[in-house]
Amino acid sequence: MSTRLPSDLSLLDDRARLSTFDSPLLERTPDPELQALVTEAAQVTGFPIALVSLVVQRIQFFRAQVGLPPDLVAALATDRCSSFCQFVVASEQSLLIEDATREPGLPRDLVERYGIRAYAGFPLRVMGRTVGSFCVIDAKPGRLEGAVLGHLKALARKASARLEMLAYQQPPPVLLSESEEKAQRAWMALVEAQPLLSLSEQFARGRLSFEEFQRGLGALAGLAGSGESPSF
Amino acid sequence: MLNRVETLKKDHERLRVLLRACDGASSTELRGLLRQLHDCFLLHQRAKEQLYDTVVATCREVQDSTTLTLLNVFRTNQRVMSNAVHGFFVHLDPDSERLRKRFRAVADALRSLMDIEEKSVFPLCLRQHSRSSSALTMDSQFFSASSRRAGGR
Repeated sequence: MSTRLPSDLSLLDDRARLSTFDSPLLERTPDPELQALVTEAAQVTGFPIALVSLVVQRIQFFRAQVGLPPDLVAALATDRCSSFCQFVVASEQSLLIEDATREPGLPRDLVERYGIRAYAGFPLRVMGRTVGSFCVIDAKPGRLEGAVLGHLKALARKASARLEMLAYQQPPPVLLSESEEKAQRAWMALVEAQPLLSLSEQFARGRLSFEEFQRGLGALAGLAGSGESPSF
Repeated sequence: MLNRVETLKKDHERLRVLLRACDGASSTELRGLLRQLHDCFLLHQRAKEQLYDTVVATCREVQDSTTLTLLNVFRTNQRVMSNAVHGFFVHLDPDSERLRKRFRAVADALRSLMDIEEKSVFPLCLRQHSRSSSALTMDSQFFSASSRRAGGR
């Protein structure tokens, strides 16, 4: 287990890793099995937030969650570059942070926007690739004991197994042709834009205050700021 | 303004009909229907952008910063999603089964986009228009009264 942040983040954009993501993994409908695992993680650790966070191209997508504020429940995502989970994926190792305000290398956005302080994340692996982090988060500094971390690691393994099962419902082709690759990227851009739409939808339905709406948009500023999808 | 919004709503109906047709289409029919959907979507996008431009200009004129902020937020989100939808149409997956599965995400996104516009964006545009019209009417009444007081006609 590591408390160090990796300096090399190149694995995040690895094409083979990104090709793992397809419909069943990025589905927004809650999966009861993953949901049970994050609920157990929050109970075991006493940390209020637990996530199955998939680190995609531009966002981290919360495939399962408990304890998130309403704007993040609506978006189910934040920008990838402001996430802590990106470091778990890049290093393919667990990451423990007792107090995020004392870690100068961490992105500040989520610390300032949501008051995140403590974090413990374990790699999620699908088809031999690290796709995300099974993590717990607290708004106050905290340290987890060895036995609790062991339990969390076991839950992360179960979450990986479940994700693997979901991924095999629609396995990605071994070798993509040029047109398949373009189609894959275009589709992923669409799925990654979905959190912005979900935020607008929940706001339009009166389920988010304007302040919550704006905070959620702020957490997706990288996505909204470009005003366009990546080039195809 | 009312006519423009009504036209956009009719576009929505056309898009919904095409989406339903795509839902039930065979693999061979689906690609043709997606092309039709893309054409319809592009035309609708252009008309919507023009509506946004008009309302944003009015907001600036009457210095309504709240509506302007909201409109800009909706416009940005709508642009990001529309560009992504456009990308999907331009690069249709050659694998028919995968295309069908992925199309579901596109259909959900388009339906959601239209619902948001009907619930929030169009009413906002109409409200802004009626507000600015009454402000302009009041302004012209004020100026004509001032002009009469000043001895003008």
